[in-house]
Parts: sequence; structure tokens; C-alpha cells
Amino acid sequence: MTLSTIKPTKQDHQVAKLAALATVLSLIEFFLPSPIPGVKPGIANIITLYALIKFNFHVAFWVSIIRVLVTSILVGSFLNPTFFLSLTGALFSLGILFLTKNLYGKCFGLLSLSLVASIFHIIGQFIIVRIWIIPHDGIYNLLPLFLLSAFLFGLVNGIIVYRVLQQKPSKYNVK
Amino acid sequence: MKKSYKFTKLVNIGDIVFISICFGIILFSFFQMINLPRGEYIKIEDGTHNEFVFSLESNVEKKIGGPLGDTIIVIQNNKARIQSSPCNKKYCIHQGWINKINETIVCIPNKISLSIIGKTPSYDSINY
Repeated sequence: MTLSTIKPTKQDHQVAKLAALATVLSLIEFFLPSPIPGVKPGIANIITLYALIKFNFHVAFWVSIIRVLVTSILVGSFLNPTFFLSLTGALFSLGILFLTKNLYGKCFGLLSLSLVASIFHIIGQFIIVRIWIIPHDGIYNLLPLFLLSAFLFGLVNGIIVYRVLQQKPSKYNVK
Repeated sequence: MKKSYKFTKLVNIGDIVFISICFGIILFSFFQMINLPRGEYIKIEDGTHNEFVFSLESNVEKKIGGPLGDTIIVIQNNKARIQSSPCNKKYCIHQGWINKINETIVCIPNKISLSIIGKTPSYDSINY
């Protein structure tokens, strides 16, 4: 028997727990019927935002990326266009969160952070769709609708993260 | 581990400003969607896979034959419509003028379709 040389740190455990939670939320969302293809609440991003506020950007980054990978493998869309869409969305929203995370607490609160992440999520996906999947200008007609849904769900997710962060620690909390 | 968790109010001044800016941009984009992209050409197809392409800037009255009879298509002032059709329900006529990219009028009984296209060829959708 070989000895394991990788020692998981406390932060690795946190990433694993949060990523598992985010994956479950992602799967629930996958099976929910959606009124328009592409319009989804993005409830898994609650966990990303929670990880960013409660811990740091490093944890949030890995939670988001692992969530995308594991969910795509579980629903069988790994390396499909769908997978690349969600990966791009996740990377774009992580990028803008990295740039704006220091503004949190200075005039700006959770709502702005959640809103900017969800809007950049949809903008990133739109760029990929325009370049690769439907290379036609006609899809710009859909942009206002998607931006509106990102706006609404971004606000709702921000409120949910706020409420989650207000909870007192219990034995069920991720520590 | 550094704790970056700071507790702030749900709604701060910056939030209100940012949310209203976003809302303004979204309203503006809805407004843009109503106004913008005009097509350049109109493609007319009949039931025998003949295709006719006209510029929307031309003033044309085109008669196209289908299984039921002749459909008259009018192009003027950068827009197009079906003026008369031998079909029963006249949905194609009631649809009125079209001029935006990817707008279509289809007359199924007479097997005629008009669609507005831009400068570059496009895909309707791609399946995988």
C-alpha cells in the first residue's frame, strides 16, 4: 500500500463540501422546467457568492469550477456546447467577482456583487453563442430578455445569500 | 485563514445606484430591440425550391405561382408584405409588413415563404 502524499488542508475540505452543495443545487435546477430555453435561476451561484464572502476568492473559484465539471459529468453534457456555455459563464462571473470583490463593504453590498456576477455570466455565454453556436446577429434580439432575467435572478440570489449569511452557526453549517 | 467576511446592510447607497444603472441599461436594450436591425434583402421561396432574392430598397410587385394560384408580393419603402393570396385564411396577408432580419411570412397552403436576410448568410439554428 502506498502512502498518500497529498495532505488535504482544511480549506480543501471546505471547497469539497461547498462544491457538493453547489452540485446538488445545479442538479435540482437542471431538472426544473424552464419557461424559455436558457433562462435559469442560477441557484448554484448562491454557493459561489457565499464562499466568496464567507471565505475568499480562492475557495469561490474552485467551488464554481468543480461544480461545473461535476454537474456536466452527472447530467452527461461533459464537453458538449452546454458544458462550454456554463464554463464560460462561470469564468466570466468569477472574473468580474475577482475585479469587484474589494468594493464589497465600501458602499456596495451583496446585491451589487450578485447582480454584476449574474449579468457577466449571461454576457459571457452570449459572446460564446454569438461566436460559435449561432453565429448570426439575430440573437441580439434575445439579449434584452436574458439581461432582464439575469437582473431579476441576480437580485433574488443576492437576497438569498444575505439571508444565508445572517444565519447563526449550527452543527449543520459548513465550517 | 483570513476572514474576509464583513457584515453590511442588505441595501447600501452603491447598490441603489448600481441597480438603477443596470435597470436603465436593460430598458434601453429593450428599446433598441424594437428599433434595430433592419434587413437588406428579401428571399422568396416557392414550393418547387425556386428562390428569388430582392433588395429591400427596390420597389417590386412580384407574382409567384403556387398550387392554389398566384400570390402577389409587394416590396416598397424598405419593407415587404403579401398583398393578395388565394389561400383561405389569409394569415399571410394579416401579418402585414416585415423588415427586420429573420422576420418571415409563410403561406403554407400556397407553399410560399418570405424571409428577410442580412448581408451575410445565416443559420436558422444548429443542431447537435
